[in-house]
Amino acid sequence: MENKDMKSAESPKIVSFLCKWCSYTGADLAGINRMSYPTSILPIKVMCSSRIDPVFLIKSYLRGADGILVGG
Amino acid sequence: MGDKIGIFLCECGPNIASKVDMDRIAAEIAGLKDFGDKELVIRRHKLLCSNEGKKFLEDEINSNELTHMVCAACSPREHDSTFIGVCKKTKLNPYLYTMVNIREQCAWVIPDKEQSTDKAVKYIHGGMNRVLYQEQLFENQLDSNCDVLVIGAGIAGVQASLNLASKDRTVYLIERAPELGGKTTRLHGLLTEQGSNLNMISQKLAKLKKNPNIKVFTSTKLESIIGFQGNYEIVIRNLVNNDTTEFMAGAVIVATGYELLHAGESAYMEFSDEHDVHCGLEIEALMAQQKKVLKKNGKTPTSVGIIHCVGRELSGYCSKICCNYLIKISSYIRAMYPDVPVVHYIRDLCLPTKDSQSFYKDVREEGIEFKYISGLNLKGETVKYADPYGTEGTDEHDMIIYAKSVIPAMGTKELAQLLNIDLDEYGFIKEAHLKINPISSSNDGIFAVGAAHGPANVADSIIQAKAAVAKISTQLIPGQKIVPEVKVSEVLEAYCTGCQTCLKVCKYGAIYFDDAKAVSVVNGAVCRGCGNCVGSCPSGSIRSRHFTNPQLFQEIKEAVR
Repeated sequence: MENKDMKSAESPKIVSFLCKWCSYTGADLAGINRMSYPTSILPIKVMCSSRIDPVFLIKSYLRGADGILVGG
Repeated sequence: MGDKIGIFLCECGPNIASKVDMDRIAAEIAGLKDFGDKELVIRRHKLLCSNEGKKFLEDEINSNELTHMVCAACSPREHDSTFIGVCKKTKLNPYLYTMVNIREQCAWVIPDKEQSTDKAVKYIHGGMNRVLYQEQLFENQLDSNCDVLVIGAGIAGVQASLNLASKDRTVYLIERAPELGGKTTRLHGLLTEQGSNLNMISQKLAKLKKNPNIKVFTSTKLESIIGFQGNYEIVIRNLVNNDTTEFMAGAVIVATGYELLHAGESAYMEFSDEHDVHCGLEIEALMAQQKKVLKKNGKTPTSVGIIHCVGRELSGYCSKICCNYLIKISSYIRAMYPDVPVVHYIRDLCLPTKDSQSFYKDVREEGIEFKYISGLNLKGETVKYADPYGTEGTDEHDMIIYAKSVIPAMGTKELAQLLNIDLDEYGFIKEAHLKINPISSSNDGIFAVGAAHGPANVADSIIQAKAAVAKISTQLIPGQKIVPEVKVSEVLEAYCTGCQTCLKVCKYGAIYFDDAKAVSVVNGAVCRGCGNCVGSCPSGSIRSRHFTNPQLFQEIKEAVR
């Protein structure tokens, strides 16, 4: 992981799994209030944070994610 | 036939168009290498959710014979159902469409237009990948039963039954006690409209008995219940002769009310049966029967002490109704005995309703004393107290009236287990959401009203009962079929090892175990599609429809690209 390029370090890729009922709604609220957050955060909607299989986290890291946010 | 994906970019007036470069999005999507072999139909529209926009969408789907559709617009919370509605008018299965949120989670959170456009492209790309992995799903319709089971015939249960029963809807009202009316029948008066209570409840009970669509079962308890909203199979048992009755219902209202904490559990209340120490409800009963407050020896009291908040330190919450009814009782005494001193011992005073403040003012003006205390000890009829400044005092009375904490009704826990609903930390039935969904329980189709949820006065109970009636009337319409959620879990029998982990994690009781096949089975009508079972299945044998692993992997792939 040491040879991560600088670009990634400047704007870390964060995969965020957001529960449809709470944190996805929260992310919408962030938009409604015109808050800002980095472009590299791409939300993925799930029906409930309990749906998240550990495999999703492993796959994300293997494919180059710098961090994972599970919101629920 | 190859895949033909329709990608619709909504400008949302200036909301999206001014923050992202719509032309660049369209161009970049058209040039995506991994979609080189797919036919893409990319369209822009000013406002897809408008009537004109919906018509445009419908025409585009039909004329291009789209196999998949991606709408890049606002949050799915706003218009997912709008676009599903459009799909339903066409040949396109609504589950072969996906919505990408380029407004709330893109245009509105990234001030820089270039970056915002980059993210939108990425997001839409993810949606396009996902939609190819989506599957057709078909909604099915189920007959629903509109009858309602009401548990508990106190004021809340009676009110709900009266409002629900109609020629299309039978109400089964069951009550554990031999008589109807619950604790309200034991009250002499209701705050600010004293004396009218017995009249009010007896009128309601008379109406109840006359209504042919209400079937009343007294001395009866719920024996078993299986099913889901619209289809419950219910068995009730008579506690006297053990007879059982079976029927179907579509919804359940729990109106089991409350109990009072035993005063003996509070260490500072020392008294025996010989002492003239009464709880508020006993005084109400006395007033209702004899229309007079008298000591146990039949004599008139000469000094009355009224103690608030007994047991609050044990229950852990304010019982909400006690301050009001104790003040009401002191007004009874004042009206009967104008010269008898009455002292309230209060730690806090809780007068939340709009008429209670003026009532409190009135009784104060009539010479009723209110002493703020930090603690007290009752021995017989003698009150030793300390005021908030630490000054101690002793008052001798010859009659003590006190309010005990309101606690959940006996058997609430067992009932909650039968109904598969959650209880809160105090043992009351937990609301689906304390503020925005306060009369629903954790289980669809089961509602709780009145003091079953927590301390409630008569007015609260009636309001909640009517709210539950409104919900049921709109959810269970006679003659209308119900459409269960299709985005639910399903077990792949071949992979299921029968470990039953899923049964333990399912909060909705939607999974049962088929002993013959030794596999778990999901009841699609009860499943809410949370996917808890999917994440915890060790053998990976449960799929979450519309949120399958391959579908989510496609989104992950784009998120980290």
